[in-house]
Amino acid sequence: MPIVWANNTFTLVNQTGVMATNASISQSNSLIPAYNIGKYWTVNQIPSDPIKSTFSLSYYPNVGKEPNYDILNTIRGLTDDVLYSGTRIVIAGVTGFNCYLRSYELQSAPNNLVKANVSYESFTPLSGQVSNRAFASTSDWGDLTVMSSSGDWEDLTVMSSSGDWGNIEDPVLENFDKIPHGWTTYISSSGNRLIAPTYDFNYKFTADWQPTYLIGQKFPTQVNFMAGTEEMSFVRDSFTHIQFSGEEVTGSFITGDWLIELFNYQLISTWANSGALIFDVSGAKIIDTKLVVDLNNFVRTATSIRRHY
Amino acid sequence: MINELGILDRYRRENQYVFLNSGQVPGIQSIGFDNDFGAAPVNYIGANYITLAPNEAQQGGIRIDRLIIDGVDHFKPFTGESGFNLYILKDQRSPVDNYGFTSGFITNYSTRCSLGQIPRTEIGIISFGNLGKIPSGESNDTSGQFINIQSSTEVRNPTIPGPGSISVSLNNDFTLNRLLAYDININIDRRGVYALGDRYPVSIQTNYPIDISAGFTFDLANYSGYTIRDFPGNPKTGNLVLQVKSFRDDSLIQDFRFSGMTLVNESYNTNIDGNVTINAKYRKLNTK
Repeated sequence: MPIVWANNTFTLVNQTGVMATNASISQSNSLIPAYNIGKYWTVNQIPSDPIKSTFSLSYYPNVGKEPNYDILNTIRGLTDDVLYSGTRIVIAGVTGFNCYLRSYELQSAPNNLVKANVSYESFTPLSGQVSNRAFASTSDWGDLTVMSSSGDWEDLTVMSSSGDWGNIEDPVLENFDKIPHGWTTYISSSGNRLIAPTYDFNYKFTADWQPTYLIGQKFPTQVNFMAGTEEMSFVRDSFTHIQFSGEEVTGSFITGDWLIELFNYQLISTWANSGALIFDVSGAKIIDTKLVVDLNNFVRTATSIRRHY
Repeated sequence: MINELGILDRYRRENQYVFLNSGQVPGIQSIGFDNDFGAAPVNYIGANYITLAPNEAQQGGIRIDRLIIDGVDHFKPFTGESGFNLYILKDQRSPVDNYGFTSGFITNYSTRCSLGQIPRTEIGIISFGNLGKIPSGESNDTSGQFINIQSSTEVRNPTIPGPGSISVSLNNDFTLNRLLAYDININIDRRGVYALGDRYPVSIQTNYPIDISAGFTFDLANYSGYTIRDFPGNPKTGNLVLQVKSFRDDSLIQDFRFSGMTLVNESYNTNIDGNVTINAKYRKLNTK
C-alpha cells in the first residue's frame, strides 16, 4: 500500500472540494461486556449501539462554494426531514454515504482568516480505501478508471451527472481566494454597520439525529432530525447584564436586529462581492455573559446567545 | 532611472531627508524599515495551488539611529501616548515621493554615551498605520503634513552635546568614581486593539508598566559594591538625574529624571591592562 501524503489526496463534501487543514474519520463499534451468572469472566462482548462513523473537518470556508454552509442552511430550513438523506463525504478516498451534519462551527477573529470546523455522523457502512486523488494531468477528473479501481467510486454516474467533475482541475481551485476574513466580517444593525467594535465572533450549530432501526435490519431505515441548537458569541468591551431568565437578544444586548456577514477578504481591495456567509440573531436569547480581565490585555466581555430548531 | 547625464541614478544620504510629521530631523545616522505584509500560505489537504493570504496584523517595524546635533531630542516626547508619522524624501518639494510610515509608536527608546563620543539615541518603532510609499490622501494628517513639509526649514546651527556637558546624579556614586559610559533604555509595550471589519486597529494602547533601565560603567575610586544577598532585604535604590547640555552654552538638550531606580545587576571587572571598572544596572517599572 503506497503512502499517501496529504497534498496528494482530497476531501469532498457533497462532491465539492473543501480546503481542509485536518480531516478525520472515526468509526466506532459500541460494545459492552456480556456477563453470565455462573461465570467469573465475561463470556463475550456484545453490541450495545449501532456502528457509527464520525467525519470531522477543520477547514478554510470560502464564500464562493461552501458545501457545509449550504447543508447547514438546508437543515435549518427543514420543515420535514422525510426526504432528507444526508450527504456524501470523501476523505482521502474513504467515502461515507448518508452523512448527517452533527456540528458546524466557525470563528472570525481580527486579522485572521476565518476557520471552520464541521462534523458529520453516518450510520451506514463506509466504502473505499486510502488513496491518492486521481486528477488527470490534463486538468480534469477524467481518469475515472483509477477511481473505479480503488473500489469506492462506483457511483460515478452521480458524479458525472452533477456536471462539476469534468471540467475543473481541482474542486477547490476556483474558490481558493474567497476565504472570509476578520477584516471583512461586518456586523450590522438595520443595514448600518455597528460603531461599537466586536473583537471576536463565534458561531456553532449542533444537531441531534436519531437513527431508526427495524428488527432484521443492520442499518437504519431512516434518520430523523430531532433538534438543533444554534449558539453565537460576541466578544466586546461593554458588559451586558442579564436581567431575567428570558432575556431577549434584542433590547438589552442589541438594538434592532443584527446581521453578521463574512465576506471574502479580497473585498477590501477589489470590492468584488462574491457573496458572504450570513448569520442573523433574530429570536435568540442570551444564555450567558462573561467579563474577563487578563494581565496584559484590555477588559473583554463575551455574550453568548442561543436559539433552537 | 537614468538621469540627465545618461547614467543610472541612485539614492544616497545627501538626498534622503527625514521628516517627523512636518519637521525635518537632522542627525539621523541610519533608518531601517521592516515591512512585513503578514502573508501566510493557505495550505490545505490536496492543494494544487497554495495562495498567500493575510493572516496576522499588518504592522511595520522601524529602527532609527540618531546623533543629537540640533539641540533637540525629537523622539523623546513620543515615549508617551502619542504617535507620529515619518517620511524620508528625496526632494523636500515633492513629499509624495516618499518612503515612510504612519501611526508610529515608540517601543524602545535608548540613549547612550561614552567617553570621546557625543550622545546617541536609538529608537525602535512599531507602525500600526501604513508603511512604504505613503499617499498624500492617506489621511487628513498626511495631506496636511505634505503641505507643511514643503515650507519647513532645516535647523542650520549645530547644538552638539559633549561628554563634558553631561551631568549624572545617582546616590553620589559618580562624584569620585569616574563615569565612563552610560545608557538608558525605555521599553514600551504597544498594543493595537483590532476589531472585526477593519484592518487598522480601533485603538492603540500602552501596556504598562514601562520598563526603564539605566546602565553605568565607571572607574572605581571609592565605590563599595553590593552583595547579591543585599537584595531584596536591603536593595540599593536612588533617584537618577541625567542631563545632557550643549557644550557651547550649557543649554539643556536632554533631561531624564527617574525616581526610585533599583540596582539589579552589578559586575566588577579587573584586568592587567586598565583600571578596575564597575558596570551597574538600575531598573524601574513605571506604572501609569
